[in-house]
Amino acid sequence: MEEEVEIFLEDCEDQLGLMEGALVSIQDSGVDADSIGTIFRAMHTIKGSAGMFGYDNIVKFAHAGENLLDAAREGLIEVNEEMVDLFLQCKDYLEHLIEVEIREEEMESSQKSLGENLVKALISYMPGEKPLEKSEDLGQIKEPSMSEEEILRWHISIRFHKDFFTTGMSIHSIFNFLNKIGKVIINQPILYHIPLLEALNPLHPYIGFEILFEADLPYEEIEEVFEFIIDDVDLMIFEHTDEESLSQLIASRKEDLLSQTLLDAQFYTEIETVDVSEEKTEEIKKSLPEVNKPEELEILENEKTESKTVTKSTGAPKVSSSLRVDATKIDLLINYMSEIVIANSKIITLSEELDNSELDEASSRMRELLEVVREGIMDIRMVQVGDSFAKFRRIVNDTAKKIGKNVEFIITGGETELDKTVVERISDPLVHMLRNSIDHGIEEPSDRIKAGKSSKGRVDLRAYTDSGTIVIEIEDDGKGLDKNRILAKAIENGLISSTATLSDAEIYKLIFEAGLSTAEKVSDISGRGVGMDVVRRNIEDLRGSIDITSALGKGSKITIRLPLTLASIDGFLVQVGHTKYIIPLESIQECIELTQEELEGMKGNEFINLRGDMLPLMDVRVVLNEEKSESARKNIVIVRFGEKIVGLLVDELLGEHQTVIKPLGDAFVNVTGISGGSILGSGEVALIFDIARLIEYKI
Amino acid sequence: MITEQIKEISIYEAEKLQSMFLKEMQSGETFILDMRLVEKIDMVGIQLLLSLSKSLEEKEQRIEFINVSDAMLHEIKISHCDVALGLG
Repeated sequence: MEEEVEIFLEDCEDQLGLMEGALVSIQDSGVDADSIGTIFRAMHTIKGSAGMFGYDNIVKFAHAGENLLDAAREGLIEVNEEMVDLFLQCKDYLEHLIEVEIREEEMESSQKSLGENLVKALISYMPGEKPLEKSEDLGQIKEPSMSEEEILRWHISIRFHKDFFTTGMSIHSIFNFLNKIGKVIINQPILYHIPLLEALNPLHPYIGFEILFEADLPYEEIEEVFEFIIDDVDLMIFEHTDEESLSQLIASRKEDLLSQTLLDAQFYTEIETVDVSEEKTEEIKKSLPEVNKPEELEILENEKTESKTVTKSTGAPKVSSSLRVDATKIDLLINYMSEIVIANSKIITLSEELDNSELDEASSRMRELLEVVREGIMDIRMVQVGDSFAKFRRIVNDTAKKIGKNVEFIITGGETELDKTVVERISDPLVHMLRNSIDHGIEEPSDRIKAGKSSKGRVDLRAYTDSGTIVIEIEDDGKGLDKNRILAKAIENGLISSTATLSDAEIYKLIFEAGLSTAEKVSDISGRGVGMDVVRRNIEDLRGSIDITSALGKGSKITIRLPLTLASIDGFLVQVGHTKYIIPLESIQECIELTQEELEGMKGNEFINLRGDMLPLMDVRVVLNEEKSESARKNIVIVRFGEKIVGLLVDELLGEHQTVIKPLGDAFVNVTGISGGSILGSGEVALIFDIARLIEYKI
Repeated sequence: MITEQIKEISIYEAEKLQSMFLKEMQSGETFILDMRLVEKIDMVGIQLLLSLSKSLEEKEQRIEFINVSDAMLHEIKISHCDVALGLG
């Protein structure tokens, strides 16, 4: 996909997200002007962007929605519940339409009819408008109330800044879009400045355009056509009958010999230049750029006339608080960064071997700086989970509505940051679990009242950070899990033997096994036992873990723990046998030495007494089949994941290590507790422990 | 006549084409541009052709476009530069 189209798609996704958020907010809290404004702007922006790319079907559809929203903004119609539902359907349809248009596919006929019906429905809400007949052309983008006599004509004058061509924006798209929303009567290219071929810099624009444009549109809408290029052009838009603005234009573009050009091109039958004073002309001229000299531009705020003339320019650099960057560029940067970290590890190793203090100092400094840069780069990938969570609001509302339940959905910790990739990959599992909570967790309103609860159920979605991981919780106040039922089902399905002794937590976790559903009814929302195993697998693929607690009659809580990032970790290097291992630093509680006395005191048991508490021990050498160590010393690295603590018995502690995670091949898929590998400065490979899996294995 | 097969007259090829055109202009013959294979033209390309046309006019030569596809003609017409290029 071309970069511009990708940006368009991302923009649309953002706008659709805003639209959905505002619609759900109306559903929750009633109609307010801000929400209507947000939906209108989203629809309008999608229409404008789509027009730039020539996606006519999107423009047509969005235009219908925009019209109705505009009427709502103006207070001509009152937005009701049905209309909100309609707009939500329009949002979904628009999402599909955008995908289809981008892929240049043909829309399925059923979807086509849906689109037509939605447009009809939109129009039917317009004040004083009859619904469109099927045969009518929905693409006619004209304000219904305007008559032929009222059609406005606009003069658009456009010159390009020096770097316009290299911005990648296409003036052809602008011309095409103008023809979509109105009619270009005359388009006169201004060619005087085009030099001879020898003197031409092909990448500099010398050409300009004078356009006579007919459209029943307000000035603002015409200006918005140029929204994406406004900072890269010198633009004047004014009503065709506005003589003063015309005089200003001619005065400011004297060298273009515009009067004659415009007369020749039949823009005007005669041009009576309004007297523009010498000073004012000079002032206007100074403020307008010479072609190819954008640095001289200034915004002519005080020259904006009542007749809606505008000169947009960029004298001072525009300060933007954000920059849209292709995620693959960041990934590439992370990869290079990883290689630099590995190369620097090599330098550190060498400096230690050579015992060169200056080299040692320089490499340490380099390591510190690399750490700062690494954190900075990783930070770019971090996004607030709230944006992603907000879209769940609609899913919860729709699901609840569909099955006749009343649910209050509370999101907390939306500002918590997480790697964008993790956010994207966790989205589907969360949707699945939320649907399950509503469908199977929350009781029918009548049952809730019988159980002495409020008829309205509550589902909480929380996010917070804990020990270098992010925790996401989904908690409901529904009927809770029936562990006897789960157990019976698991035995019936052969997942466990009838004699197995399981803890409550282990029983609850059985719902994440394939094919186990305890739902009494199978609905189209959930209950087929397909999905929860996929949910668990997705979370485990992200090096995360999932736990569930429940109380019968009171509700359930699913707790997901995820690493903050997938690309690198701060690690702690240890050695067991001949292999080096990395333990994620954030999971380490402390390191202690296992004395000979303690070792003997263990008497073959796999735990020690740590300050009065029992600490389960895991001998990594045994678990991972390492050779017997020659080291006389034994060390215990105490690691924690959630509430669980285990001591890992290792041979040597080698210190902290900036760990760049490299995926391991399929051969390692079934190796317990190893999540990846890393290359050390010496060129050796170190294996990274998956603490969650190791603890699970042990406990 | 330009014998090299030109597939696009765009920002990506503009500098290369400029050199090629300048060379061809020195031959002093009628400048014939075969557009048979041209699949893409943008405003940079159109401006380049306008500059070429202007330069040829200066030398009392002219440019002749052959095999212009409807799609390319359409692209040129959108900007209304077809008349200036003798394609109108």
